[in-house]
Amino acid sequence: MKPYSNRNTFHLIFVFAGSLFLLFVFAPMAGLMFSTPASKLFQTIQDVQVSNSIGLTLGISAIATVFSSIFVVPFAWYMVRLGGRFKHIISGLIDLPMMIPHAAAGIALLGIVNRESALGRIATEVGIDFVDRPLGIAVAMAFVSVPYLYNAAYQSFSAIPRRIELAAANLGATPVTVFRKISLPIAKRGLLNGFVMMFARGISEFGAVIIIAYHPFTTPVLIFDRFNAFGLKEAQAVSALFVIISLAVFVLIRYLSKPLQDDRN
Amino acid sequence: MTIEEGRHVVLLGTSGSGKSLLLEMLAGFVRQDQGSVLVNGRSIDGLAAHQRPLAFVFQKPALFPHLSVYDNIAFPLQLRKHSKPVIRQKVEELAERFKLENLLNAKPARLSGGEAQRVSLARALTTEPKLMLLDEPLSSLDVPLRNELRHYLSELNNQGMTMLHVTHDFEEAIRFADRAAVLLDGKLIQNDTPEMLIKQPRHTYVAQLTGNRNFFKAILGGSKADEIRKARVENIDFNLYSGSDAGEGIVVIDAESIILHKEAAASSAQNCFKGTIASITPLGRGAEIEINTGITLVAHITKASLTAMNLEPGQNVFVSFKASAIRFLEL
Repeated sequence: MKPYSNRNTFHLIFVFAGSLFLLFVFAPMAGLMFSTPASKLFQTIQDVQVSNSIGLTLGISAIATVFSSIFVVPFAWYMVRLGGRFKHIISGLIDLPMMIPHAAAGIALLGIVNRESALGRIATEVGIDFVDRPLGIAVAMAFVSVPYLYNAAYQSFSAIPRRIELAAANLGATPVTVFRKISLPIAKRGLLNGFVMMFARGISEFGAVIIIAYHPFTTPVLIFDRFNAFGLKEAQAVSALFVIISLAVFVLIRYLSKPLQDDRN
Repeated sequence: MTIEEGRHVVLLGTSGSGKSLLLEMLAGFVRQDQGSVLVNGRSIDGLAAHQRPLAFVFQKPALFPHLSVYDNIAFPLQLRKHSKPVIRQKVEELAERFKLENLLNAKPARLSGGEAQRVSLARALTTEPKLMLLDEPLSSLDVPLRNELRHYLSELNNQGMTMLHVTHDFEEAIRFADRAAVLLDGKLIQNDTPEMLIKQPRHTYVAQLTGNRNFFKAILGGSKADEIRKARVENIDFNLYSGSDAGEGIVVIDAESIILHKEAAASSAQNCFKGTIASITPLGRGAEIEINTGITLVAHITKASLTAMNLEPGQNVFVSFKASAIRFLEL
């Protein structure tokens, strides 16, 4: 009879550990989905406060993403092509908001946009408020999620071989034309990926948003509020709804980034 | 360095010699620290890359991957705001010239290396440049495809296009060039016809580049006033002409000028030595023969001579060459 070989044991350990890991990731999600019957989900989506918050969250993150991209995308291109010695330091700095605790990020932001700060006072003069306003939420979302867009844009532009842009210049294209007609179209897929990542990160932000604006409720804040006020069951309903929507966004990311990989190879 | 209109000048050197960088400076991709680029006597230093009248062809084809072959070629014309019919006419003309008619709707990813370089050439010509800068345009192609592209380049030059062609391959220089300039570590060390580079290399690097293997450390004797000088290599004395001061250096002997004899013969050659054939290697349409005369000399002879003389390794032979076949290079 063959002795029990080492390879089989090794394999089993991996299967066991892998299963535990997958269970760890999947079980809470599955539990959440099963916690709320379909009827309760329909009821929840008809709750005006819930639907408003979902609309607000998606809308503000989308607007923040679009507005940020107007500056961030050309800036990333500029950094890749003409960034010089400082581009790595700048890349590191831009990653900071992604790495610090979200509540700390919120406090940092609040420090410069509150009514007593220099910026806050100027803003109040012009009639602009950040604290407890959608604008503040947009700023908080953008602050923690812009690094995703910048990095995606930077990588997409870096992937374009230098000689292609040089050839365009040599043929008579000004730097602006090179950006518009050559770099942007070629980087399209990667940029789109970056938009979706920034948007997804924005809608899920809690810590920074709640510090700047407890009201109006974004959905993550609403979930927190409902949990405190009404308990687990109520919070589960809103969470399940929001998770379904978030998952739809992530499926979209996967779907969009797959053609990107195929193109490259 | 001056490039005359209509010439095909080859810029030779190995990687790191600065030859590609030089092209990039001419094209305006990189700013030079010193010196000026002049076109027809006027400086173009102030012009940005997109304003310069020089067309650049890259080593790996730099086609726009998101545009068809047609749109690639049309791109410069669209930038200059030509009308659609005019663009169509020009693109079709160039497509015919470079045999691209069937590929106009294809995307660059579908093209072979040779096809892609032809599209690059066609596209570069739409700008009607004064000078074409070619950065090793053949080296990314498989050897069989190179002939085809060489043909297009020769034709372009014959029709009057001025070209500056960078390569590390001396044979390209021989095939194409009116003149060849050699770069080493960023310095221009010789600018001559290819024949002169072989016959009168001014630097050991040039001698190596042209494939000459006959160079040896030597000590030059005599003085500048002497007509014929002696150079000692190990314990052999060569007779040569030189205007250099006595001292250490390198002697370079032109392999084509070394003549072999079966017997010692009286001749006008100032240098005659006896030696033994060390090896015979077929080379092109003849053979390369290594002769041991105390030092190893390399001679090139034709196949016909090889069979006529019935040469074999181990045989004794006599070699002779004139004093003018030797160059002395100071260290």
